[in-house]
Amino acid sequence: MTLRLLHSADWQIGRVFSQFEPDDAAALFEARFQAVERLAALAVEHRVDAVLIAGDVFDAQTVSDKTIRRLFNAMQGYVGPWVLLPGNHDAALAESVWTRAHRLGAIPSNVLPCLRPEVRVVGDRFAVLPAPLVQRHTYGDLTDWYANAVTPEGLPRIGLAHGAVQGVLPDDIDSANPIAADRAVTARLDYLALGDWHGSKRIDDRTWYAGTPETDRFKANDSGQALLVSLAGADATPEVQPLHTGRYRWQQRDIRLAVPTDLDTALDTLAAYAGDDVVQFRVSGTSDLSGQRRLQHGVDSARARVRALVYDAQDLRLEPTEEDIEALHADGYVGEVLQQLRDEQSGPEAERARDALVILARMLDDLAERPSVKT
Amino acid sequence: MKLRRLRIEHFKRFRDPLTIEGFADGLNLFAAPNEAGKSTIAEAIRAAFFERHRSGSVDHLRPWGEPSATPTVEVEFEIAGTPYRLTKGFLGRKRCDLVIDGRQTLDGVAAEDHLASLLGFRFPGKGASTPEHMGIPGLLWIRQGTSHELADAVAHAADHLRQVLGESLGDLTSSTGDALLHQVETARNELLTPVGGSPRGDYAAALKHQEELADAIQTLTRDIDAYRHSVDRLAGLRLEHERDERTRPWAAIRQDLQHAQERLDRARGLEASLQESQTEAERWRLQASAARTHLDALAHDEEAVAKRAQGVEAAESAMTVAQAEVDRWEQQHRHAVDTEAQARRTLEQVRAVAARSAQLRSAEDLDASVRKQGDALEKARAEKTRVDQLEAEAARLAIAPADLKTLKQLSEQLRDVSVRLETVATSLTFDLVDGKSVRADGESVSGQARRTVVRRTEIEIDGVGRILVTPGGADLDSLAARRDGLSAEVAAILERLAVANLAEAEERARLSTQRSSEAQASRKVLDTLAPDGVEALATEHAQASQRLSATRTALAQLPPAADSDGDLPTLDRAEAAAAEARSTLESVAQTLSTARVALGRAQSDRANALQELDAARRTLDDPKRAERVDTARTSLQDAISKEAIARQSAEAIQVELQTVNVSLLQQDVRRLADSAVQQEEAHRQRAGEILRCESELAVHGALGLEEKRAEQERELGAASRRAEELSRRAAALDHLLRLLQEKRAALARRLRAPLQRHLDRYLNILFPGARIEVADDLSPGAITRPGPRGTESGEFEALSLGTREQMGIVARLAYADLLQEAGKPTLLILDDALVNTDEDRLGQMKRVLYDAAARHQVMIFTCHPAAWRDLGVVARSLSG
Repeated sequence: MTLRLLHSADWQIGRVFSQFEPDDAAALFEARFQAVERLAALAVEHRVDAVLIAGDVFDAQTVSDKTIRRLFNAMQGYVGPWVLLPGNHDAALAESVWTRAHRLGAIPSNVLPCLRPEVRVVGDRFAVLPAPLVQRHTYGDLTDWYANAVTPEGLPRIGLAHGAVQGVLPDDIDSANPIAADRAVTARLDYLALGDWHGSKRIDDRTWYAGTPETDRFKANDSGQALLVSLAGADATPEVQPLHTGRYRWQQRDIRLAVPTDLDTALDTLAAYAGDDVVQFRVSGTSDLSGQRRLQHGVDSARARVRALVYDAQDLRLEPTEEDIEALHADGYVGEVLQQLRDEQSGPEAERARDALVILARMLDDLAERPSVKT
Repeated sequence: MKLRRLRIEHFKRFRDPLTIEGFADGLNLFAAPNEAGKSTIAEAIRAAFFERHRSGSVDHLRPWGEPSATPTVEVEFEIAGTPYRLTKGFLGRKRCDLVIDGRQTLDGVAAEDHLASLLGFRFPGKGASTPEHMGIPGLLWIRQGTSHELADAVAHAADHLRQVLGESLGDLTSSTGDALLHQVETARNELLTPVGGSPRGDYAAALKHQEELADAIQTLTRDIDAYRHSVDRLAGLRLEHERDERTRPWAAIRQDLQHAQERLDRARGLEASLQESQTEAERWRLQASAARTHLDALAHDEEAVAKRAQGVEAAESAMTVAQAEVDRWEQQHRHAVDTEAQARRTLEQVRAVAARSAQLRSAEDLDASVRKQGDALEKARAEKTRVDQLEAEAARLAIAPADLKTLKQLSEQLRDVSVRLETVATSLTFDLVDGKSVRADGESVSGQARRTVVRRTEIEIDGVGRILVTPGGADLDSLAARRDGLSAEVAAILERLAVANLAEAEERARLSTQRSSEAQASRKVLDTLAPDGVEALATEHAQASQRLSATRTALAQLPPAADSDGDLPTLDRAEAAAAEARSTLESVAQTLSTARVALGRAQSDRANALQELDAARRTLDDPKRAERVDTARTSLQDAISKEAIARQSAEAIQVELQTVNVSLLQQDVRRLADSAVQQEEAHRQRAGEILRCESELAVHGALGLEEKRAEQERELGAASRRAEELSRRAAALDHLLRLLQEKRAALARRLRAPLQRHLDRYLNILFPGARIEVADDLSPGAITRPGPRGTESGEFEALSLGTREQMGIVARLAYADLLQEAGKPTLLILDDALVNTDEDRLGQMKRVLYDAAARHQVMIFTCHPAAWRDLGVVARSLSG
């Protein structure tokens, strides 16, 4: 009979998104609990034998009691076994979020935190070999013991680990908590469920990173998924199917304004964003004052629509045209000031000059719109 | 603008029309004394232009006491070659006509407004015109005493001046500049303090909030680090605890301790044995020593007998010596006794002889003395008898002096009375025949006699009868009584004194005195004979007699003198010899006594020595003594050998003890015991600490520190973004404001340049080398000029009144130049404008004015014609 597992990781429950405004940050904090609820629903829907979470269930050891309780509440939808592994964020230290959860009595009986590296048989269906982190950082391979681990005859051997598979992931990933790339083979594992890398990633037929179920950064590719793993029988290659779990789409966009159509592209892009988008929008290049105004308008309008928007126009240079100056009635010495600010954008205080230019333009706009008070 | 003609009528001082014509193009000097109407002319010009003809507030223009007059001013002038004539009537028949270029073109308000815009001034809404409205003419037409007040005048003219300047520099001004500048400044000052540029308002609050959050996060981070440290510590503690539970390190130490204790106990046993052996050896040593002493004592007995025998011998010889001494001294003593007795006898003899001769001499002396005393006694007794007789006779004869005196007085009085009585009395003379007698008053009278009769007297003549004589005379009776009284007194005294009459009494008194002095002489003799009285002398004599007899008796009893008496030594010698003999005897007796005592002692010594010898002999002869000697010898041998054994034993133990170090063993025991306790205690403590750590972590873990920190960091992120935004905005606004101000200032400088040029031109005439700044409002600002102490700089308002006055005129001339360049009409009126100026400066000012007059018409009113004589124009009088 086919063994079905739902493989997830890096829930990072309790994570706070400091780069966003409070309401956006609160929504993103909530989203992680909702992702767990969706996982529970998927587990039920696909009638899995167990849900495996490969580390970093919590974002930190000292999250609040309320957060701990809410997590376990979010798991109520699925009453089958949940096999949880401590990762580097929630390592099984002498005192940890796990011991606290245990003290609180918040862990339901169907949830199995694997705090020690020892074989556990889950529901007589498979043997899990957990490699929990018991220190914050480990420089040895915690899955070394898999090769010599004895499991009941006939039960699939499922590895559960958290760390960086050596030589596969990009270099900038933390080199701590290494995992041998051929561990599944050398330890005769039927499947090795990994966590730490926030995107879903296949290492080999039997070795996968599930990625985080709810995206939490702009650079995480293929995140917001969980893996449905089906093992048809001994020695069969597992069938792995990514399931969509995330709600928010984290998007990062850099647009360089050079020709007038670039502005249109930028405005179209902004117009296309919708409610569940979390956006980082950068513009650079050159714009005249009217272009800047239109861009700002587009940004403000998008900001009101999307979940969160971070706008960065630091590298945008303003070039007021004759028309701009005409339209703003920037005559006399005001015109001279405008001209000087435009020039200063090439100097060391470019940013200040740009800001001053924007303020000046806006004020002149306002003055022009008001009834003339000229004496 | 050039004034050509002025006519005034019914105007203040000038009731009659006054016309002034022929104004020069340049300087016009009007000189007149005070109150001559100079200022009225200036005022008429001002009124013509500044006051509405319809104004009701111009009553002061009327001449005094002409309430219905119509003050009228007619001014003819030229502007840019065009002739104008303005006629204005106030109050009475109000009118205003303006004839331009010979045609009446405007009248009333229209005419007034046209002039206002032409000349650059305004009219008030109502009421009289005030300086604010007077604009450019207000600046150029200087009223009396106000030439130094420049700032206000410039302010009132500023708009017109700017307009003038602005028109010439048109495209440089900004239509929205100042409004923008104001807005930027307001916005900037919301975020930064105007002066210091430090954050304020929202910006300061954002920075503070950011800082607070950073602090809070720092605190949380510290707490989290502490928490993590505790977790690590707990892990470490648990590891150690489990290891100890497994290995039980204290058990091994306990075992070592037991072994060490055993070793120590053994070593201590050795020490005790050593102590015991040493004690025993000492005991045997003492016992041997006692035995030796005993033996020594026994050996001593024989020596004692010999020594005692020697003692007896010595005592006996000593006794013999003492006996010999006693004998010798007894002999000596006997001799001394004899000698002394002899000496004493001799002395007695000497003394007896001496006594007898002394007694003999004494008897002889006494005999002589008794005899002498007997003579004296006899004489004294005779003398005594004489004294007694004399004294007795004196006493018998003695009459008291008072009696004698009384007697004398009474006798004299009696005689006096008798005499008087005789004279008055009846005298009876008798011459009787012999043998015949009569009796008078019974008294027989015979012979011749005389009688004085003082009372009735009967004369009886025998045979005859009696004749009674009764004396006459008045006093006769009293005198007679008195005489009788006195006679009786005298008689009484005489009787008492036992004398017959006074003479006898006196004789007795003389005799008594004689006897007394004789007795006195005799008593003196008696006193030399018997100073202590006769009786004493007698007693003395009796005693002496007695002594004599006693002496004689004693002498008689003495042994009779012997013949050998003449060989005896003198008493002194005899006494000395006796004393010497006694002294010798005493000395010898003393020595003898000493010798006897020595003998006694020697005898006693000998007896003792004999007893001791006897006792010693008895001891030596005791039969048990040999036994004791044997016993003592055996005991000594025994003790010596036992001591040697004990010493050997002690040495053996000591050798053994040297191989073990007790103090080290003790230290081992202590160290191991302490270690065991420490290990156990450490284990217990660790267990306690684990519990504490666990509960502490449980408490702190529940605080959700990291979640809180993440939350705070999110807030900090927001706060930092806001602070950054505000910082950028503040920097941008600050920068913008500075740029605007700089550009505007540069523009203003450019605008002020022409004015500056004109000012500099005049200033250089007045103060060569000076420079003046023109402020934003076009008024003169700081002035810099060479002074006596280098370059001086100061604000216009700080200058002296005189200098301000000059500068005020110079500035106005510059404005006038400026206005003229812009094609505006200019006319300058100086009404007593340089009254505070000294002569030197006035000279300079004249050059200035002369120069200006080349371009402008200038009216100068003065009350000091002499001061302006060299202006180059003839002064006009008003009367003309």
